[in-house]
Amino acid sequence: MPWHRQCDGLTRRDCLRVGTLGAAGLTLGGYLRMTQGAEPARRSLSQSAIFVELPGGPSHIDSFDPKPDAPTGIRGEFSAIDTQLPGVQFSEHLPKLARVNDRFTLLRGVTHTLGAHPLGQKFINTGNRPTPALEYPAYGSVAASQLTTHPDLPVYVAVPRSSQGPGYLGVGRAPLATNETPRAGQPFNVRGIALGNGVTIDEIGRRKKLRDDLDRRFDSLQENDELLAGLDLFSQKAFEMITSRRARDAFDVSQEAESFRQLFADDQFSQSCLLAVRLVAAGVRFVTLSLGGWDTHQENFTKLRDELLPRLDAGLSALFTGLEQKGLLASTTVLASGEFGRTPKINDRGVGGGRDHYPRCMCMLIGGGAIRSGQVLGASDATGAGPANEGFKPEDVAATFYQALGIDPQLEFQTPSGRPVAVVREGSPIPELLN
Amino acid sequence: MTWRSRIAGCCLSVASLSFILLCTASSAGTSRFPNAIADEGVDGSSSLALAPVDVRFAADGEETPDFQRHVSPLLGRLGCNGRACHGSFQGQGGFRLSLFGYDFVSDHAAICGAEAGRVDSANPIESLLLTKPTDAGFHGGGLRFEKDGWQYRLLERWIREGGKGIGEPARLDRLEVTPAELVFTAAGESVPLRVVARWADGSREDVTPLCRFQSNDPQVARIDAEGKVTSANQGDSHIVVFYDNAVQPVPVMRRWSELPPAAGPREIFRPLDQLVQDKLDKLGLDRSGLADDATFLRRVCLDLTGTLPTSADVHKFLADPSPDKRERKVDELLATPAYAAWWATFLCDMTGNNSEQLKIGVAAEAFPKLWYEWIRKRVADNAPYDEIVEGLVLATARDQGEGYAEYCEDLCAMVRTGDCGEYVGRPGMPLYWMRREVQTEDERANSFAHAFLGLQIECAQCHKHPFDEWTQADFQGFARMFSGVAVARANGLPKSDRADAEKILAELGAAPRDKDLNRKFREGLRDGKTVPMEQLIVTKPQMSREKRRELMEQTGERVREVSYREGVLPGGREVSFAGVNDIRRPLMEWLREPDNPYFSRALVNRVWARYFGVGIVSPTDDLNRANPPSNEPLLDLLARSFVEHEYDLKWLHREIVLSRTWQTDWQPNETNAQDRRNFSRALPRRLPAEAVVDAIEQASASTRENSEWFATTAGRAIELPGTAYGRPNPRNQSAGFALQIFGRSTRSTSCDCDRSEETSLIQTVYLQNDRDVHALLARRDGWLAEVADSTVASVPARPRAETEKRIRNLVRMQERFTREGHTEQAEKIAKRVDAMRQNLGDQSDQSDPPDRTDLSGPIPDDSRIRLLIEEAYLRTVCRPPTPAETDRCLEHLHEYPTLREGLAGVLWALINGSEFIVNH
Repeated sequence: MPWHRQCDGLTRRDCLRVGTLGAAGLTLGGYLRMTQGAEPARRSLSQSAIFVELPGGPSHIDSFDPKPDAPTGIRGEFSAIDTQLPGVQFSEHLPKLARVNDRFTLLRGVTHTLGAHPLGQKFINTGNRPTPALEYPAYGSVAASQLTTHPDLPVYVAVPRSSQGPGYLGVGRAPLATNETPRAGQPFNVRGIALGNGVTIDEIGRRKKLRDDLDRRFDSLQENDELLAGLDLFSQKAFEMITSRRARDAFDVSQEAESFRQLFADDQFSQSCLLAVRLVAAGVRFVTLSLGGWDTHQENFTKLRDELLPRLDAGLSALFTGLEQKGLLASTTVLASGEFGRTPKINDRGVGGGRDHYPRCMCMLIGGGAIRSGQVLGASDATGAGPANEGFKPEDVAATFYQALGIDPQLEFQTPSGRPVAVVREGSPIPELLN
Repeated sequence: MTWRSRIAGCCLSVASLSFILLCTASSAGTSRFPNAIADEGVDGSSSLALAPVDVRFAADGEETPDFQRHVSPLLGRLGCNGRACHGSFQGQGGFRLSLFGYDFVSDHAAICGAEAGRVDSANPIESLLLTKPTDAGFHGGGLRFEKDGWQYRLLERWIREGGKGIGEPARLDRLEVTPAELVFTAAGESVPLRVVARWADGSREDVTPLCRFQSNDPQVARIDAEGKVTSANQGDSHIVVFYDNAVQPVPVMRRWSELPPAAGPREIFRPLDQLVQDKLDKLGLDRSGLADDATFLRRVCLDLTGTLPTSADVHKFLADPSPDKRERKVDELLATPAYAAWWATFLCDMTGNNSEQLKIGVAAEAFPKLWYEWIRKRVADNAPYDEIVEGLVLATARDQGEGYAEYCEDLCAMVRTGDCGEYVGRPGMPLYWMRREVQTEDERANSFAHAFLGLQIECAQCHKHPFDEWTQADFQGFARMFSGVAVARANGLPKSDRADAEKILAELGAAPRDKDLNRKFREGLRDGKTVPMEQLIVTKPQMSREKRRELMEQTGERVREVSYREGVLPGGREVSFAGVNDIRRPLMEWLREPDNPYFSRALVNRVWARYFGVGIVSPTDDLNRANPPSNEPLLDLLARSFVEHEYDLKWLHREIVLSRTWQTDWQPNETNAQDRRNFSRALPRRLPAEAVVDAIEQASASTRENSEWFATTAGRAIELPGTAYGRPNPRNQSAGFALQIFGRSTRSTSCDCDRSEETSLIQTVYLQNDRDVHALLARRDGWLAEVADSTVASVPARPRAETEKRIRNLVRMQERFTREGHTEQAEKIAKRVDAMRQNLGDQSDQSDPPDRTDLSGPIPDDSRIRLLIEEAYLRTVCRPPTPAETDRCLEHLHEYPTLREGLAGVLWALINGSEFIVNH
């Protein structure tokens, strides 16, 4: 391991140098086992969190921030409906969410300046404005570095995958990506966890035994070599994960009770939401979900009405209801957001026109766990063209999200090039959001 | 005295040694020393150095402290300008100093400015600068020094004398640190450092009490704030001294053993071996033995080509008795397409060939591919490294005389067909400058310093570099060197190209203001039409559009165009832009200067790190002053010889892999088990992501496919051009997943850490149970399927005739040695001949036609099965199994009804062993 220093000249204190550990009577392997396989920490406010990515950038006006009184060229085709909260209206195509919006808080008038997909996503999905010099980690990767779970479960799962990588935290904090989404009522086979190609648990067990008997060449080196110790440790842990029922069961949505499954629609996103609930119930600490297709430059209204809004409405409302039914809502923070909003002004492309990228004004949805729910914070101006007042910064929402998960947003990491960097560099938690 | 001290060039006498100790004693409070003290310079000259400030300011006197030489370093030493204190960008308590100092103007203003109110010139002792740090209750940062201490007196006197700032900073020539090297023999020994600053004006001053100190490895030696070094564990590292803008490393070591250097002659294969050996001797480290042939072969194939040897290769190599077979193997590998593919990947990592940043216009993967192929051709042709870099650095979009229309036409054809042919032959490749996220001069400076100088200078973008001499002004001067090129998009073309562009648009039926221009371009391109393309143009040096936009966003104010007149090269040399057409030229010329301190060193160090798992400087992109090489003469020799050999990359590879140092075994001995930085043994390294993906495929391939593995690299992970993972491989659709989890370089942040060779849980889950791995093992055209099909020979035929011929030659050699009385050599050869005959005898079993044994049925326990087990070993760990290993595998096979099922387990167990996933 290269020896890095921090910017202020302090040397890294947590470096796994064999000499120190040896002196303390602790082998490296033992140390790794201790740190990687520990029981769940109890210090967090929320046990778990779910991040719902909405790549493409949903139109705020056509979803959570309707402007029924705005001129036609802005208002759009949809009408607004009342919700559970007095005076708060959503788009008519979000009826289910309108019935459960006391379970979360809606943030209106969130604002930033990055209008390109990759940059906007990097910003929203990390809580840090992107820079070419540093790749920030996804929320889940930070969570994976701070939280633990049962030794035979992954800490962080992405369904089907996360658009943001582990960044400066390194490949060790990457999610277990399912790469696929479950299909309703069918056993779900997750890559790496499910057994396939005729390989049974017994078979894996016999092979593993053979492997352990054969793999003796570096035995003498193991105590002194971080790489070899890590390989040994992870080999055992992977085997536990693959062969224990816990992990396979956690992914298998078909094992849910019929009555519970019926809360969730049959499409991919709703089924992913079902999987997320099941994973959290099993002890997974962070789940990333994704519902894409929001880049509606053309035919904005058709796409939103026929597909996007109904899917979001069904999936997200079932996610909140499902978490609540399982008694998990109080311990699970949910954040849902796209990378930006869309232009108030409707363009003339395709049938009914479309809306273009618009980072100046957007909505975010956050609830569960330590979040004070049942409110709408912030507002956009009369035409949804910008925040009515100061607006919220994505960094502040990110800081709140971490805080709710029991991770100090000012927690400092050291990048591989030795630079100290806070989890959220510029933001601080929004007090009105926290209980 | 239990420690020894040395200084470069001359030996420190006992007298001056004790003088240093006395001198340090003075800092403990005695003040009987005169204000000037004689001492001995590093160059042997004797001159007067001013006594340290803690002596001079211990009592009242007449001297006025200097802001640059005394006040500012003192604030640094006290930690005032640290990140957690007034160096933070918010500045604690409204008092902000530049982080790590060296911004004398703003620091002076922060202290003495009319608004600041931190000094009271009428009543100096009431100044906040004195009252705060002496009052723990009153100062958030606590008590920094005592009232009436020398620090207090120094600052008080400076305020009393007017609190003057400075104009142009004085130039510091160097720091002279004594002892210049620390060699300890036991834990707990300690020795004080003494630091003399030598200024350009000839004055010298003992600045020990004003320096900041750091130990690069506190496990080896610690240093306290006063500069006293105390030894700890065995090993070697550096103590680093900081003062003004200077950074001076001092080697420190404690020997691993007191053993005398191993008796007998040393094996020195190449000049570099001697330099490695010298360091080992100095540290009391014994080098491990020479790696055996099987270990050598696997390692050399992986390191030179990112590819495992085939099982036939292993057989052939082990059976080859000729003494020069290693050398021949190296030459053979250097000529393979896998070598070019693999080292082109290395250069693409280094230069940042990132798909996401090369979505130019409407084309996607065509550009990363062009970048890769352009480099691959040059690696294959063994073009000199400096010429490859020149092709990137000085590239222009168009060939001379090529019009814009023609340019667009050709490029569109390339994008459409994916055939880079003609472009690969061009002298330059402009994409290096066209990456989307690397468009401001600052980003370009960072990216260039990383790629070609092996430096991380990003810190200096905002403040004095904490580990190097770079100041913010240095950074800005260097960044201006990158202000002479821009990417012209279709709507920002030079006048001369506009007519062409209009014509192209007209033919597309598009107008410049069309809203769906991109769609029209995409469709036009698909339909075989020409669309306007972005191009790299050379401009007059000016602030980039992107930087202006950034500044406007930050300040909220309009930023006007700014022209630059000169830039500054690292080291301080100014380059005037007057009369220079393309300001990238002086940059390239500077890279090529024979004494360029970075260009050649950065490259040889990176290449070295690929071979040893650790650079001579580590991390490899951190060639800063505070991170010195573990073996300076070694890096020096390699860098110098590389230039002398005209940047010949194949020369460099040969020099390294044919050295005794690289051919050292991984087995540690009594002295070197803990050594990780002196190349006394081979460190196990995890296979790079690309090699993992390819090696699993190779291990499971049919006999025929496996035997032809080196003929081509088509469809392999080692020749993936960019960072997007749509690999056209029907067998392994989602290889991108494996490449990501095993840490293929993301090429995203100008950091060598973009590639990861760490281990992780997901990686082991992948190896044990991923559907891709199961599918590869079970595939119909794979080796296991072939084993089950008894009509095919699943073990490659041994080159029997070849072996027999070699045996005859060896026997002749043996006879000659016996005749000439060299009995020892003769006996050695006799043994080898016996082994080979034995081997041949075993193989005679194989002359039975394979279909005589029904391999699809129950497992027969015969030599054929042993050969299959051996084949599984050769395909994965590239060595024959030991008898015990074979027996254990046989035991496993007998648990299964068919050979195929059992053998699948053997292959799986081997792939999941650390011996497979590690290069050793």
